[in-house]
Amino acid sequence: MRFNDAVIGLSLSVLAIMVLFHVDTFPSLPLQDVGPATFPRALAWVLLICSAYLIFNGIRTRKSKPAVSLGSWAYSPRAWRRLALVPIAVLTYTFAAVPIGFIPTTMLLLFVLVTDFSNGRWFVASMISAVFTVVIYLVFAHILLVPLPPGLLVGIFQ
Amino acid sequence: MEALVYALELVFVPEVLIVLFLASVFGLFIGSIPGLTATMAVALLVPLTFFMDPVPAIGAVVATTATAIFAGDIPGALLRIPGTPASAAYVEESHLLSKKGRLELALGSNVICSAIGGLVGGVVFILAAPSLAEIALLFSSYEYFWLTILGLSCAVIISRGSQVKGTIALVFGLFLSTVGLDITMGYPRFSFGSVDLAAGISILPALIGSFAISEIIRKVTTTDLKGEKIQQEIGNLLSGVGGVLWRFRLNVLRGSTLGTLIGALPGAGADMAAYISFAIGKQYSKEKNNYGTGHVEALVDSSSANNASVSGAYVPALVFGIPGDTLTAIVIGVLFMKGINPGPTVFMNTPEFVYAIFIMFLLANICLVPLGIMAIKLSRYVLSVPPSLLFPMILLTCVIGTFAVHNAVFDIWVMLALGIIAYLMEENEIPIAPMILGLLLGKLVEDNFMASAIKADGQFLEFFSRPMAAFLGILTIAIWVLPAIFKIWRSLRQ
Repeated sequence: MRFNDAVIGLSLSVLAIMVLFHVDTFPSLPLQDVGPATFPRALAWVLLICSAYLIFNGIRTRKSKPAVSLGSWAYSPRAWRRLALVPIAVLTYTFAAVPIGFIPTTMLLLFVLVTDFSNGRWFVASMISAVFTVVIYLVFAHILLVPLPPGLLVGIFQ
Repeated sequence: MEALVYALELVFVPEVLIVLFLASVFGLFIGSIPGLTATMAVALLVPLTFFMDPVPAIGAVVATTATAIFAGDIPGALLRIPGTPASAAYVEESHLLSKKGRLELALGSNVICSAIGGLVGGVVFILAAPSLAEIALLFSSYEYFWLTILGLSCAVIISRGSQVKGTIALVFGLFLSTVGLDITMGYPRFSFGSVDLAAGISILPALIGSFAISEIIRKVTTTDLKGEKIQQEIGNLLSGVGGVLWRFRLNVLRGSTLGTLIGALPGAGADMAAYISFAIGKQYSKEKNNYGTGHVEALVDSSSANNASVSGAYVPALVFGIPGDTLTAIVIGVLFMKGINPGPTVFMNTPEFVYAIFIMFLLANICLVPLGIMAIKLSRYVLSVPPSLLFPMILLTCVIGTFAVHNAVFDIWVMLALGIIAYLMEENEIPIAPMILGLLLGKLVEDNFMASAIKADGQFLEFFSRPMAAFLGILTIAIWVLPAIFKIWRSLRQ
């Protein structure tokens, strides 16, 4: 996903301006010109200058570079589905690992991901998800001695 | 001497040796899969190192990098796809050589030169680092401020593509480091009432997000996720390698030395070491015409350089706390996690730790030869593993590892957010390395800047008041200003 430089510059300049306004609310050291705002303020100014250059450059090349251009993969629904599955899997883990438990969550997520990525090889997916989950469980819980959330399996796996 | 004996005792224990072996196997596996980089391999290791003692933790990183950088040569020769960016410089030459029926010579030379390069780099590290550390002990906050800025400037200037984009990446990384309690007053900046944000952005999820999640996003959208089929038979890998090494002994030495020096430059990694050594090797070659037809000399120069650079990068990392590349940025992150602040005091207070790293370098590079040969022999099977099976496992390893370290859901969000940001940055030719270095060194820069500013009491010239600080300050300003002046000068003359 490629953006024209002007789009990047514009977004960054908005960020820099917001930072500049926000750091004005920070306190400063008694009898000193410097304080918690000094460093982020300096960074925001550098960011603003660089953004101005990007905006200028983006406008100059606007004919050859559209505001947003997606790669050729964007025409494939499968690529979009895989792309969506990455954050969905990550977020599902964050919400499900503690209540449901490490073992069922990992096994299920891996099964879904491998089945989708390998175009429906569910048998391979189920084997891999089982073996992987057990290996990771053993490494963390028994070698590194890191507790993993037991969830629904509390009392069975500690 | 006592420290050396103690270091040997630290390394030669079953736990460390097993970690070194497993990390080498892991590095060889990840490195030989096209698209999975050495940095990604190390980023995946970081959560595990969190739970280890400092020596095995650094040993795991050392062994993984040494082997992954070499392993990138394997698919290069077999499939013309570099396993890691460090092998990209000579992938063409290596593949052409294998098409001429000299696959064994190509891979055999790669493995031996990689090991020699790594060993030379390790020796330079142990010779140069302690004396540099003595100089570094004399540094005050002014010198540290300039040195860090110099290091970060190099990272921007060396990075490929637009320097403005490199600067943006660096500033963004530095900005991320300002999130959380400030150094001078303990004021929570950009936390918006969140306890997690007030604690700051941890380097660990940032590393995993930037180097692993971003790569997964790129690969799942653009590749067909199928395994590779290798038809070639692999025979005796060492036959003829001795002759090649003797014939091109100066190239091995030159590649290794150059690689170490390039590795020590902040921001310049193994890929750049390989590119530059390849170019210099070609420039001074007596058989320049053979380049581009599958010439073994090209492999000798650059495959020794990329492994040497890995060792070279440890010099500024351990002496000044300024990483030479993204890999040592991770090492510094690991050291911070272990409560060790890299810098000259490490050499004075815990010399056995420095020696232990050196010994592990030697061990990892010596073991690279038998393990590397084994990896080449098994490459047919490794390369046939389809990425459709690997990427989900890597994704979940990232999530589980990140979560396990602090049991914090916030870390996973940081990982995902930085993964997406890093993906978008790379798509738009904004380099990731300066961002990571900025995030890692931001606190150091601000700490030294604030200490110096308070000492200087508003007088900016005080930053140049000590001779070494003045030298470093002028050098930093010069590397930013001089190229611009030359550019204007050239355009005026035309």
